[in-house]
Amino acid sequence: MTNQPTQQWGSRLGVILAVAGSAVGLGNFLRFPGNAAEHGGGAFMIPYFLALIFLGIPIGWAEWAMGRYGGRKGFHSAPAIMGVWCKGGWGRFAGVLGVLVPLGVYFYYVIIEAWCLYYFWLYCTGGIGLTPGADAPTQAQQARDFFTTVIGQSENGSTFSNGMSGMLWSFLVTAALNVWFVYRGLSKGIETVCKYAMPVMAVLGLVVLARVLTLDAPPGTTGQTVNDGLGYLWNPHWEELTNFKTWLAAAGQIFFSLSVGFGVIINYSSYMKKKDDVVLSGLTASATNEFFEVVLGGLITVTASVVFVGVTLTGQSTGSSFSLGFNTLPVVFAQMPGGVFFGASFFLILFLAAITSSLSMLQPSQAFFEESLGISRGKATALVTVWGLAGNAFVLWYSKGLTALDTIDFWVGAFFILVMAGLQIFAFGWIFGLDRGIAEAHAGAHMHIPKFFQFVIKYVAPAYLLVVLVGFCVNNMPGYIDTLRGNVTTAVAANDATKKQIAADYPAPAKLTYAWTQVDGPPVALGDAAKDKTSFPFHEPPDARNFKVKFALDVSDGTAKKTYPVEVEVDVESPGTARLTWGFLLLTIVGLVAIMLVGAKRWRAQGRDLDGRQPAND
Amino acid sequence: MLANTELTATGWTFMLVSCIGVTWLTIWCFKKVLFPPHDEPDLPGGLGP
Repeated sequence: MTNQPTQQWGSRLGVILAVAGSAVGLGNFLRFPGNAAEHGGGAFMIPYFLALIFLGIPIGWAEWAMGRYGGRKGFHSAPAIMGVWCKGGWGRFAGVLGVLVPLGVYFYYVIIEAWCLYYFWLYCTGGIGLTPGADAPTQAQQARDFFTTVIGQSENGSTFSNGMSGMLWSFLVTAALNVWFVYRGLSKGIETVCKYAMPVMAVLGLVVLARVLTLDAPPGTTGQTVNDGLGYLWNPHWEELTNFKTWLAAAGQIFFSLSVGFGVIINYSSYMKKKDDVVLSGLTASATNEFFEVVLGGLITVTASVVFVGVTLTGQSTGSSFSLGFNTLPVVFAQMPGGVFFGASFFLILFLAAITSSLSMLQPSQAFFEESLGISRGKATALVTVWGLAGNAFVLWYSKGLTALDTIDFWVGAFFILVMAGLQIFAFGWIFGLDRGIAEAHAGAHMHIPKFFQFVIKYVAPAYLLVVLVGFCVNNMPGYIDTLRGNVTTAVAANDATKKQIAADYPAPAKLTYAWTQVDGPPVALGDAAKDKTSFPFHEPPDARNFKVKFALDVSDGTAKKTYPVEVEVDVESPGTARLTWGFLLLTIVGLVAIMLVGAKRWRAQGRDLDGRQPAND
Repeated sequence: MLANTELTATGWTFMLVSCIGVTWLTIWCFKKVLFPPHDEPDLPGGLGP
């Protein structure tokens, strides 16, 4: 071990705000409203709150308790702490996920954070250049084109092609801020940032919310009111509750939003003392995240979007956080009185939400390097900086179709998080023992974990999580595996708005038939187009890249026929880049496992209780 | 343009219950964190040395 003093939090409020800051991110403001609008509106809140009660809060409590217990044994990294809780070496291997996930997500998250900073800067200096007075679809296209250029989506390396562009400066500033605050340490760095950023975010969010709730659509635009915008998101569509994907989306939203299974809470709570409360702290951090998500995320973005750009354009963007945030909302700000100010405020909120999250992604790696290799905090920061920058550079360079970003996001930012959370709750309830785990959680606690939740932690949460994991894999994994194998398939599908339009045009329960005709774009084989579905898959030629295909979808109930336009943007994931990304991830995994093994050898040589055989000291 | 999406009574209910619920929980938690009862002893528990 180094002779540096052990880090600790400055105050109880500080650690709560740091965990809440880690949880509150872009997903609260962009992913949540899109998810809710697509999956049943108000009805979505039923599976959403059930997932909060049966997954998010109990797993969070387990993680808080595990981290603090590990910290009392002198460990601060997920591999070491999981080794203690799992009573053996396999726990340390599993715990590597608790470092891989935050580090891997950091590879791309900082890039998105830099987009937010860049947009904030642009709004501070007048906006992103949408033509004033143009109609919403024209401005939406301009916003899309601008965003495509900023993120370098059309060609690998295009972000670098114009020298030091504004985007690259934003990235450098963002990366430097992250490294600086992490180097400053827990109390002076992360805690200080979160103590200021969280209240600023809340105040700015409430200001923007107040403006959105008092909006009037300008004459000659959509004619939609705030009431329509709120109705678009909150009116319940009960039929969606019978769709498994709705339950999966709700569980996923809760899961990824609360930062459980991420390796962050376990690290942050390891710096707490035995007398520090973890039960109320965990609940407070979760509640804070929910406030930002449901109140601010649920009332601002989609409402404003419906008022200014209408239901159709909003419906086309709710399926993608990036589309809603960077393509549609700039149109809203271009049409809204005082839009430059509110645009700057909104992107500042996004940037603050993102930086409080990205700081939490570096800290677990830094702690892991420090305690495994026995190096100083400065050297650990240097190592995490180099590793992080290598990942950032990889994602920035392989920007075409955002393939690298998407590949890491799926495998590391979704799949491994579910696996890690499953391992944690299993270790807490079944290996360490529920009674011992609950007793540990209750030490210093200002409230008890109700008996009901103890049953949930032992049985319900692991089973619920298993169903979510299996459902997630069945729904998503084949596509990503196909990409790696080079067998790329795209689904041509009517979007949500068109489906709702069809449902409105054919309200009577009749069997509808569908016929597809291609009207534009490279020829697509229509042989797979089913007559009873609003979608069909087609295999793209190996040399296909990003292009648009337009179809006419004829719908008939046997008596009346109507035609709907369907436009599909084929954003082909490059198999080569996907494989290269996996190569980079494998190198990262091997490196982290090697460091963990070095650490285990050192800890054993120091006579430390790395297999959790002895009780923890106070 | 799609059918009318005006907020219905059920929509109002879902929105208000959700927003008021999470706001109340957040305020309740922060109140307990920032103003803990002075005479509240730590609950027993912990694995001990």
